[in-house]
Amino acid sequence: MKRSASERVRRMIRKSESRRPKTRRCPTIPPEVDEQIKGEIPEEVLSATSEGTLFLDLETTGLMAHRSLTAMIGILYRRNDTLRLRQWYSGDVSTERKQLARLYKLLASFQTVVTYNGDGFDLPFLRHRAQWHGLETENEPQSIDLLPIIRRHYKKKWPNCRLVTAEERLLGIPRSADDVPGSEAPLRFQDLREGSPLEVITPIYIHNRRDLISLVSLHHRLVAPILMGE
Amino acid sequence: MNQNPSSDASIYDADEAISSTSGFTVNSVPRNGSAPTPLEVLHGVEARMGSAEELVSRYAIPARDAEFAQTIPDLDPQIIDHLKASGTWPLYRHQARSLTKSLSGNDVVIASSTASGKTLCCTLPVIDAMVKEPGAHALLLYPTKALSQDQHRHLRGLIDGIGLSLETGIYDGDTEPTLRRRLRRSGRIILTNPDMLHASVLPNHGGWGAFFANLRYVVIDEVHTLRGIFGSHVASVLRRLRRICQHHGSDPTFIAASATIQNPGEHVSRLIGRDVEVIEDDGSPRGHKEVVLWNPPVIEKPDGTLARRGPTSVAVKLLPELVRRGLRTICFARTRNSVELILRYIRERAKGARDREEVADRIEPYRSGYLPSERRQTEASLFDGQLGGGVSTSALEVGIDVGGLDGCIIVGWPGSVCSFMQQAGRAGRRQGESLVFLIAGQDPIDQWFVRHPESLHESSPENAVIETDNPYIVARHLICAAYELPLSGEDSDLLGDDLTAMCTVLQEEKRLREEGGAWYLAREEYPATQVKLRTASEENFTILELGPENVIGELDYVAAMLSLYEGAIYIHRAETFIVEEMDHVNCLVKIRRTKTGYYTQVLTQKKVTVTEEWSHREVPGAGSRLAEVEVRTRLTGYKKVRFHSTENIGYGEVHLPPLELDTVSHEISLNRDTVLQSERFGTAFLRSGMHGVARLFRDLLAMRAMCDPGDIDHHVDDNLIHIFDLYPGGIGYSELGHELHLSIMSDVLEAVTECPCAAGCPACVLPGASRIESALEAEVLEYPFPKEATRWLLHRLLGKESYEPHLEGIPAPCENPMIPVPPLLDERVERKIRKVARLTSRRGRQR
Repeated sequence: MKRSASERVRRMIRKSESRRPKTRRCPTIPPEVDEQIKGEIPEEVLSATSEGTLFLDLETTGLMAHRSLTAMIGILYRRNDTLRLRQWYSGDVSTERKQLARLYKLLASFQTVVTYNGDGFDLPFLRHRAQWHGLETENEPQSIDLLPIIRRHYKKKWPNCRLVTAEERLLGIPRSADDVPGSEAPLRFQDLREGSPLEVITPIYIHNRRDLISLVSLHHRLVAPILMGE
Repeated sequence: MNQNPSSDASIYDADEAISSTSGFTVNSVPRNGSAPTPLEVLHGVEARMGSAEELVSRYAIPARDAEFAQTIPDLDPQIIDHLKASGTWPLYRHQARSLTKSLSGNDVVIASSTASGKTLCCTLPVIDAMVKEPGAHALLLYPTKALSQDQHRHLRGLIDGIGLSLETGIYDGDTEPTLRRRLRRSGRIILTNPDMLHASVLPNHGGWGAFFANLRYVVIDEVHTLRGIFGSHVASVLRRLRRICQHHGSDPTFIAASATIQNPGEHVSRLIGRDVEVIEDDGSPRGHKEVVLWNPPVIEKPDGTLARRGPTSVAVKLLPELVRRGLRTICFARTRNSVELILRYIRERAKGARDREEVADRIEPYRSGYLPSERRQTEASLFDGQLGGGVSTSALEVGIDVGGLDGCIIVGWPGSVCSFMQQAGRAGRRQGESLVFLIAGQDPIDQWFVRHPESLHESSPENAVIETDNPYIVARHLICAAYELPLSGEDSDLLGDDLTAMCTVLQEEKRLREEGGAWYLAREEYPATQVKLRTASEENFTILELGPENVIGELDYVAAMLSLYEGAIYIHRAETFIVEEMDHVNCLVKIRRTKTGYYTQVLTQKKVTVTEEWSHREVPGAGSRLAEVEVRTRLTGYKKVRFHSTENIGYGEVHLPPLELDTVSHEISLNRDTVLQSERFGTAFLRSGMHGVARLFRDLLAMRAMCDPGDIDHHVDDNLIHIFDLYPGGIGYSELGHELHLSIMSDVLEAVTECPCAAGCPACVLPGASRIESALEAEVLEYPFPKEATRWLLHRLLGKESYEPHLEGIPAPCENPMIPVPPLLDERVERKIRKVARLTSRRGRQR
């Protein structure tokens, strides 16, 4: 490019920048979570869970894949007697790409991925975002979505089939009072991007962690018997 | 007047033969046997209305037979059956060629005259794909909303006629959210405009389901309107479109349709970024057409002075006359106000006589400012022959099918050969004759055509010019593209070789961020809203009539500012209204019906103020500087003009904010010596020379910059010639002018010297054939020796030895000697002074 041309573009950008109202600084990216969880799950459930199973739950900035980001990827898998919880945050598109690339690399080493409504939301969302970034999405493990199973059995008996309800009715664990509903996540991520302190998304991390751990028990309860029954 | 060669009967026979085989889209209103043919009418009109002096020239465009296709394109049998049943079979040669190319996946542009069946070339491949591939989708782009409406009706007619069930729809700013959702999910054929594609469709490509993955065709209609800055923006948008398609795995075929321009192939291949095939050999039949150039007579005014009558005076007699004799006629006027005046005068003249009133009632106006529904209705009734005639601005020049008309009256030179051909093309049927009248106005360019009538049919249409590598435009679209998909080096195939370099600059400026070989937006934003493809504002003023409290129309921002101010007389469908209140916050104008004997004209004053100087250097005879400027068009007041006599009967004040444009200007400031030297020839001499130089410099700069001359403007005041970009923030043209000042100046001298004319013509120093200049300029150009003045000034500005102008003994009128402006102050001092001036002026710079 000719030098004068780039000089002109610079001038144009600076000019339009000076007209823009000053925006807040982007927040620093929260630390990644890499936690070894012990003792939160009954021993027999843990030992019955395959090391090739990945539990996945996304928190996004919205429901439309073409307009939203995967703000946080929560994954959980067993290694020996501990559960490994990892939560990756991405506040912008370029970090999102890194996190997605990481996730897809990791996914390749698992046989199944367990989700709650993953076939309806999480997995298509991931695929869409990854394709947007030009990433390969071929090697996805087999998906086990717990929502359709719950629906099949309990649709008529329960007021609704949300994960929280399933936890209560099947596992007998009520959520703590300070649990935020997952639907609040987009708003909280937005608050964070607009300059709120890091604490605003701490409840999301806790919520996500809770969801993932419940998935393990629910999976044990719902899928293992079916498999054994066959 | 030469004898008309084609009035013998054989021509008619040939035309009748054609009409029986091809019904095509021409809606033929059968003329009953007793009605006169257009040529008979012309003879009558000539005998009754015009003297030989007024009828300057007449030439004939001979009739042409249809050339039918020898081979049948590979269309689905259902479609062919429908075409046969509806009487559009066989296809014309150019249609068949274009269809064959499109069906085999070649990009084409069809450049042929109005009503040559271009629409079918665009729609048939699309429908064929829909029939053959159940998943195929298509995108149809039209430059205006009105055109999408019109074309959607045609398309639906075709689809329903064939008996297909296809979901189609218009996706633009007026589309309801529910329909939008449905179209995104399941629309097979989408009609939209480039602005919508840019601001809404492309950024949300992920929400369009299977649309982009299965896009088979992209149709771009009226590509000749995609020129200049707007066209350059569209070129970038189309590259973004191709990139999105690539991402989703499709590679659509492009079909473009154009009016007659000089360079259709080059234009479209630059627009879409790859080679296209040009289909130009129009095979549609054409009836005989007579083009008459009419110069209104010179009359003696009550005060004894001589003046040429305005072109309107001829039109108000001619239009009802043609309509009365059964010729469906359209009359094109240059401004909205003239449309209303012509209609009003026609209605006034008809008063009292029943037969005349009947004729006048069958003439309707058409211009922007009316409600869309009213416009649709006028289009429809013009098409089906209910209306005998229409008076329109250039709004009816483009696309919208009003059927074949018998006559066309063009009131004043429309500004470009392209426009002239489009307007003249509105008249003309497949069979039978048609008439075109060009009524010359008082402008130098009009009168020049009167002196050189042969130029009317010898001039070739203008080039359509776009810039595909303008950094100002490309950079803006790169940011939009980065929103749609991350940018990478691979995109340089589509987005230009400079992609990496540009992204690096944008990164340094913190608009993009590079990560892992890809560029992302550096912050959260929706960049498409910050880039406007057209400079015209999309804001509309609603016009409310007080009393009945009816909304009678809507007008865009600039037009509203120039015609609606408190006290203004607004003419709507020949009725006068007074503007009572202008509500800028809600964009509402309240008017009240009133009877007046006058209309109003706004008085404007253009002022170019330097806000920041970028660079300055001395050139012979002047200083050349590049500066950021503010071009303010101030509405200084209005004058009341009496109907008919056009005399001034009073003035009024206007309290409105000025129209502003912040842009970049190349300023040529004549030095003291040049100004003093010119004094011996008079003020008008220098002014005339400055205008001559400014106008030619602008055109030659446009040629160097490969841009549309309409995107650069010039202004002359005091000792300054301003050449500035007509685009907010500037777009680089005037910078080029500053860089190449001397070299363009010598081009200018060459153009003037080599022009064979004696005193100056539109090809050199007179206002160009490409544009209508301001009235002020025409006034200055009444100076009899513009060419000599321009030559003299050019010699000064090139540092050549002094040129002795041949002024044929005309004394130098020196009543108002121009006071030479003091030499430029030091930049910093000047800025300080300006600052002080602004701070101390009471109103300050607040608006």
